[in-house]
Amino acid sequence: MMKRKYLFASLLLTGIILFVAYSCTKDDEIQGSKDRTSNVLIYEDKSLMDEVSPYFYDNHIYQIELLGDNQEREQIVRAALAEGVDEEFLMIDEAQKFHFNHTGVIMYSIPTRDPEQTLILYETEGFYQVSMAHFSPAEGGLMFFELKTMDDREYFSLKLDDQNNVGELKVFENERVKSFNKAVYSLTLSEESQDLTEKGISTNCCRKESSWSNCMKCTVSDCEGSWVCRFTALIAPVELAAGLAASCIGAGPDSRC
Amino acid sequence: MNSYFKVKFWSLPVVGVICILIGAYLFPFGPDKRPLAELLMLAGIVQFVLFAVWYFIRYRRKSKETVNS
Repeated sequence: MMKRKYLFASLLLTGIILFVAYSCTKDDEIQGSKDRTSNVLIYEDKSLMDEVSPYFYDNHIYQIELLGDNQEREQIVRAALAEGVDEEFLMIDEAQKFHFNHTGVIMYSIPTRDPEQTLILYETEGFYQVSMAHFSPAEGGLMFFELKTMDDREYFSLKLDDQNNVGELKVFENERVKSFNKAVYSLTLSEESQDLTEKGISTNCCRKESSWSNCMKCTVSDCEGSWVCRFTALIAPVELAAGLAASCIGAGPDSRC
Repeated sequence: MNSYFKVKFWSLPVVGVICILIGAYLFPFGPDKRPLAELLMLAGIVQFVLFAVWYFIRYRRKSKETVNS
């Protein structure tokens, strides 16, 4: 009787152990497949999200992700293929996504079979700018770096020394980059003007305008957006104009707000 | 109208003008001062409206007195 009980208990225990082990393996498999489809965080510095350096060369990247096998990666591959890039040339498994703190534009980098070339895609609101970054050793132990649009026209080049110091920075006129910049600018502008409409008032301090007349223009346009100011202009236009004019005296970029 | 009401009556446009002038002066100073500027302008408008209503009542009363006399 005791032997039977012991045998049953040991079977039950073995069964439980096997069940737990099987479940764990299953969980790992699910987790593994999730990792392959979702992006993996490589680098993140949340402090950089709030503190945006005004300097061009300072750290502006606050997050880097390794892209998983997902729709986002498919989209960037599609954008690259549309620009005539050969899919076989791309090492798509190593595609990375960069987030900047000073712009909403997202950068993707995809290494290629050529170690001296990396495909760079800038994306904003579904617009893509596809470029190819070229690295090559230059004289004096320097590294030459240039960015070209897919029509093989350069728009940016610089040289780096062994301590990553930037030198000989050149920016070239490039129609494709210009039109992408225009698209980004108009998108940003429309978002900002939407914000202004939602808030009802401008967030500008008109006294920061360059001259008295510009300050007046800015104030008048602000006044048009405020019903109290418009009503005051109806009731006491002279007093209102006198007050605004007096306030704009001394307007300039360094004036007090 | 006794002197108290005279002072009260004429203080309305004077205070109204002062409120609007200060409100308008603060208006171009940006979003921080904007609520105060608008409040002052609104106060000025109310003073002017009260003055206009009171003035109209006085005018009607005076014209009635002239007709009666």
